[in-house]
Parts: sequence; structure tokens; C-alpha cells
Amino acid sequence: MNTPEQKEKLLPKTSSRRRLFTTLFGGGAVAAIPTLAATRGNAAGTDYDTVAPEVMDSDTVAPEVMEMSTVDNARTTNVATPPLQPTDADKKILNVALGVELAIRDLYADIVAAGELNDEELSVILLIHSHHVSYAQSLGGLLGRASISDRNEITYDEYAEKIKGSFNQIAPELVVIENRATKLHITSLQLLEGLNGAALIASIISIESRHAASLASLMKNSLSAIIENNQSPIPTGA
Amino acid sequence: MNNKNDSAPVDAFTRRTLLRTGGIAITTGVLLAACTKKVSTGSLPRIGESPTTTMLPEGIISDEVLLRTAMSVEYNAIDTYAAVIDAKIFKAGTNDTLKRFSEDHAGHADALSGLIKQLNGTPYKKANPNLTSLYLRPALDLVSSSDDPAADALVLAHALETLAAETYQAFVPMLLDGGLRSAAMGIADEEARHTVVLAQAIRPGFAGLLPGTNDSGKPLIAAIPSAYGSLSTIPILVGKPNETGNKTTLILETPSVNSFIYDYID
Repeated sequence: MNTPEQKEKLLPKTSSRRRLFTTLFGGGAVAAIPTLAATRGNAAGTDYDTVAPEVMDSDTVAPEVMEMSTVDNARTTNVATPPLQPTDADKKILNVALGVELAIRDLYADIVAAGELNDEELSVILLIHSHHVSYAQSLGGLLGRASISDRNEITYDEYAEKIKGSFNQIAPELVVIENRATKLHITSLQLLEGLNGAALIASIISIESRHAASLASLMKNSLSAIIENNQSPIPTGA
Repeated sequence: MNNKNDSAPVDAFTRRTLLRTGGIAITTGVLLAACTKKVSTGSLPRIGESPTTTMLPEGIISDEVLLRTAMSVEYNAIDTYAAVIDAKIFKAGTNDTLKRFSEDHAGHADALSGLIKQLNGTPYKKANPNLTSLYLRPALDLVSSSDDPAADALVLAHALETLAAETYQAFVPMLLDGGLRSAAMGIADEEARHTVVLAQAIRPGFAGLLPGTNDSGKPLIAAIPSAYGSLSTIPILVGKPNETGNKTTLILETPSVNSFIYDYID
């Protein structure tokens, strides 16, 4: 049987392994502190090999513009970036476009209300009408409180009497309206500075030109008459 | 016995001592290493000779580069129409339409060439190599081996015109000069009208103007596909149907940064 002294001497034998692991674990934890601190520093972002991806603010930047901004940052163009939102001058131009779109919306609405179209003709007119409603809403949304709410009366009055009758009677006038609106928007792009307004107008042009060509195609116009847009733009002062 | 145990060399160099000493040494080493500044060369260590890498020049996206890229897309269209016409897939009527489209694209290329020269740039009078290798050459191969080459050629032409129109629209917010944005959309206007002619050739009449889906739920080609000009990818189904009756799907995209014709590209 061991004496208390012997037990005391034996104790280190049984506890030393535990103490060894404890020492190693404690040492490892202490060693890990600066490493962890450095990792956190990395996430905060300076002078490190990896940088956490930035989260873009989708509320303030349109997708197209975000893509472009990324490209510009990567390629370091030294030219001043145009503003995203419409400038004061842009708002005047966009309000002209809005007034015209409201007028065209009402012209199509008048055609539908007249009730002289068959179902397949009506489906096309309703589709195009819905597009012009969308354009007016989008332009109004972009302009916010600066947007007008009245249609362009000169444009409306110019065509209101010409769009009465059968589809074949009104379609040529609708082609003219769509072509002139397209030309107006193309001309507007020369002056627009804000990227969001320019991008919106460009996306409207892409479809309004299709409206014109589609209506011309249904009228069995010549290829040149479908493809070419020789109309003058709706005057900006209208 | 107890006397023997008492006299045992407890503090001698044992395995326990070795492990303890080693553990302390490793811990101290890790601690010191963590305190040093991290240095990364960014490359893997290597042994022996290896060829040096020649980096591409940095491409700066400018109005000139965007116009050169658009010009290359015009040449893609010209080359594709030439290939389709040479393949004698269509009769005279459709070939005449495609020739007219090709002439329009040549006119667009000339207009772009003038604009590029105004920017003191060099016009790019070749097709975009990436679009050719990734989309158009495979598509033309599929059309030529199709069970209905005429129908597939129209689908390809429609996709090509859509891609051209989308390219200009996508470039509008990237172009810095308002006059160039207007010029770009003036061309896009005509490309969009080309798509309508081709869409009507594929799905004629009133029904062909409206978006729709086929029996399997896939979207049909429409002259007026949406309310706003799309910038999304353009999927097409072309080629000989496989054993399940499905054609090959190709997805076309507008040029991105890896397909731009930078000013250092000849």
C-alpha cells in the first residue's frame, strides 16, 4: 500500500497527460487569437489578399448601370461618369416624351372604345395600348413629382379624327404615329444626360419600332416601307 | 520496492517531457508566426523552368471600343447572311430579303466607321471572332445539317437581328456621348424592324405579332415579344431533331467585356 508521499509522487504521473493537453490547448488558443484578429481585419478590408464581395445597392442603381459601373471601375476610364437620375434638363425632355405617350395611349383607347375591330385586330391594338400605358407609367415613375399628368393635346388632336373606321383605315395612321414617336425618342437621346432616362428611352424605342413595323407588315406594305422610318419626329414643342 | 520507486528518475528525459517540450515549442512558433506580417506572392512555388506569361494589354472601354464592337456585330450579320445565301437554302424571294438586310448591315457598318473616325479611332471591318466561334459557326453547322434548313435559317436570322438590336440598346447607358447614343438607337430601330419581318415569315399574321407558347410550353417567336426591349439571352432551337424529337438549343448573348473589340485588337 502506498504512503501519502508515494501517492503524491504518483499523482503527477496520472495528471501530467491531462496537463500536457491542457497546456497545448491553452497555447493553441492563445496562438489563435492574433490569427483570428488578422482574419477579421481581412474582412474589414485593407491591404489583404482577399476582399469580401461588395453588396450593390439595388434600390439606387439600375441593373444595366450597375454592370456598367463595374466595368468602368475595372477598366479605369478617366472620363466623368454621367449622372444616373435625370437632370433638370432631362426632366423637360422626358416630360415631352411622357405627354406624347399619354396622347398615344388615349388614341389607342379611343380605337378600342369605338368597337369597330374584330377579335384578332382588337388583341393587337390592346397589346400595343398596354405598352404605351407602361411607357407612360415608367416615365412618370422616373420623373417622380416632376412628372406631368396631362397628355400632349397637339399630338392627340392631330390624330384623333384620323383613327376612325376599320383596321385597314386606321393602321396607316398608327404606323405614322409609332414612327414619329420612335423618331422623337431617338432625337431625345442626343440630349439626355442621365443614364436611367437614356436606358428607359432606348428600351421603349426597341419596341415602338416593332409596333410600327408590325402594323405595316399587317397592311402588306413593301419591305422598304416596313423597314424604313422616314417620318419626322413629333416636335418637342408639341 | 518503495525505495526503488522513490529513487526513480522522475525528472529524467522521458516521452512525457519530450511531448511537453515539443508542444510548447510548436505553440510558441505558431504564436510568433501569427504575429508576423502575412506575405503572399500570389503564386505557387515551382521547381525548374517555366514559360513566362505575356499579359494582354489592359482594355479600356471607351465609346470607340463600343462602336468597334457594334461594327463587328454588323459584319457578323453580313457574313452569316452570305453563308445562308451561298448555301442556296431559300428561293429568290427570301434571298432578296436577306440580301436587303445584308445591305442594311453594310450601311450600318459604314455609318459606324464614320463615327469611329470622328473619334480618331480605327474602324474594325471584320466579324466579332467570339460571336463567330461561340454562336454563329455552330449555328450554321446545325442549320446545314437540319431536317428543315429553311425554317432553321429564319430562326437563326431572327436571333441574329435580335442580338444586333439588343447590342445597341445595351450600349446606350455605356456610351458617354449623347449623339452616339442616338445614332446607336437609330441603327437599332432598323435592326428591330428586321426582326419583325423575320418573325412574320416564321409566324405570319395577327397571331404572329403576339407572344405565345407552343404545346410544350416553350415561347414562340413573336414580332412584338414584350413591352420593353429585352437585354436577356436569346435561345434558339435549330438542327436535326434527336431521337426524342428535340432540336439543339443554342443560347446567344450580346457581346460582353470578353468580346469587345478593344483598340489594341487589329
